[in-house]
Amino acid sequence: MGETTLNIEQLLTAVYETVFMTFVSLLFASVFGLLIGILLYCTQSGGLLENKFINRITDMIVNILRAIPFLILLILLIPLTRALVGSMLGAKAALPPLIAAATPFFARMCVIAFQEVDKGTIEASKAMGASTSQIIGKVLLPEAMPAIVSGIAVTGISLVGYTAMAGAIGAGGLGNLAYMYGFARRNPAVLYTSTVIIVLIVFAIQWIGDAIVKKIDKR
Amino acid sequence: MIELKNVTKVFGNKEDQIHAVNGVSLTIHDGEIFGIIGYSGAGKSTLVRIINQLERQSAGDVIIDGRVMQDLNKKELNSERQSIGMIFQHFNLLWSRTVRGNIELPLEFAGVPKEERQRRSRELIHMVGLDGRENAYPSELSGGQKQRVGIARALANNPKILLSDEATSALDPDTTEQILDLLKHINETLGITIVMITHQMEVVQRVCTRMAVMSEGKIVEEGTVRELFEHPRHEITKRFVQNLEETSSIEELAERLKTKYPDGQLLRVTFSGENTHDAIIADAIRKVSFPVSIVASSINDSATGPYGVTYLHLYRGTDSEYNTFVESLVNAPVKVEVL
Repeated sequence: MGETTLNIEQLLTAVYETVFMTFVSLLFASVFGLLIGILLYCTQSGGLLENKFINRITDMIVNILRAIPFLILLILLIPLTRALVGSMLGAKAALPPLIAAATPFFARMCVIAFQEVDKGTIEASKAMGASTSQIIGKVLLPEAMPAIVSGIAVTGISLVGYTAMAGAIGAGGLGNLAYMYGFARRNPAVLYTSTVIIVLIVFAIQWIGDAIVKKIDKR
Repeated sequence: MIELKNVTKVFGNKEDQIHAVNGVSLTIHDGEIFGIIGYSGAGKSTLVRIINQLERQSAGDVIIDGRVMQDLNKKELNSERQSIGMIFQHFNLLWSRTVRGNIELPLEFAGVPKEERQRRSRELIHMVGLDGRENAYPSELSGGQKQRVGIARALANNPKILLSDEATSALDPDTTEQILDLLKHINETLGITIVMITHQMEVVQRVCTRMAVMSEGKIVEEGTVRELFEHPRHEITKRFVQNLEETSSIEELAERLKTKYPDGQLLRVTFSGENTHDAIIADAIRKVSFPVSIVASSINDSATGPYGVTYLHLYRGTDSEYNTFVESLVNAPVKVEVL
């Protein structure tokens, strides 16, 4: 049997690392994903800035990134991570692969959110003489906002899962704690505590997302 | 003045071409309410979208007050569009904005400063009769109120033209009348030219001065509303005029039947042409023991099922028995009115 005690300091560090990895990567993925989502939506055929070439290329990159399993993406991105962060260990080093995995996922959700916006409102805006940037800023984004916020919550939840995987190969956080101390050293207290905290973080993200959606959705 | 010269719009590829609009020439004068009537698929919605260039014509000219619309660059077109308001069948309001926010949207697009926007939106809210509702969201409004917001929004930038694409088609008859009166009032007080697309003859009859009848992408007849009503020449026009006469005779018929059958209960059952494959009336009759007779009926066949009205006379029963009968029809479901 291994130890059964719980090192609180270690646990708090792990919680901090998981929260840090999740939210920093979520912030970047939200910004990049939204921009790519807008690009994909606007360049699609019949879109505001129809451009088959840009649409195809972007679409392909998004699909490829989404197709690569996260664990493999982690390994493939080691050179990039080294170049950007200078190390391949620790919470910071997990950020490039986390962002690379979450961005295309969220971009796709943004496209779906935009497609749900009533085409009639876009047409009405054109009829009012709106420029493309005005349509995006004043019509498309506000009308898609509840779905975008839900998308951010879903992406955040996936990211919690990804951080656990990243943790298992050296990024720290609760995943690392659960794997290294809970599983490898057979400490069930650590294993279950880490799991419960991860579940609570996921619930919190979902709850915050739902609350915001409820507040902004006037449909 | 809006001039359409030989306007054609072709959809589809080389093998499979559809002429949505086929060589339409039309002149709409300043300050008139011009109706374009046609059945769905006649090309009237495409035609009205060509006026503000939401659709680009494949051939022909669109000239508004001497400006050739298809030659304008993006910026010029956007500023021209700000002087052409448009209202829609489904209103196309932003659910994320309040009544005031929706009305201010075109002003924001036009770069109008905040104070001016607020002043203008207050003015418009009052004009369309929505005082007190300025902070409501579209989801809190009725169809008629939504269209009032649509109208206020379309008028925000003081347009010279208002395009109306089936603006009353999603509204009930009473609300339709109110909206039409509002449009007429706007035309009279502001002198705005209104182009109305509709498939409802009563709309044209109520507000338009001149009209064109459209079928299969072409204008088949054009003239003053009075001329076309009194002497319809084309088959389609005749059908529209006839339909209108039928609608107005419905109320007369109901009155006549009521005096003829003063006892029992008189029902008007309307078949919409959907979900009416079952033997709805027969099923309802089987559930009751009193006699039911058909006293007047006009039922036709449509692709999805029969449509039309039937008048039923129920007698020698109690009120609760009549209610059972009405309920089973309502659940069928068909529209039932107790006369």
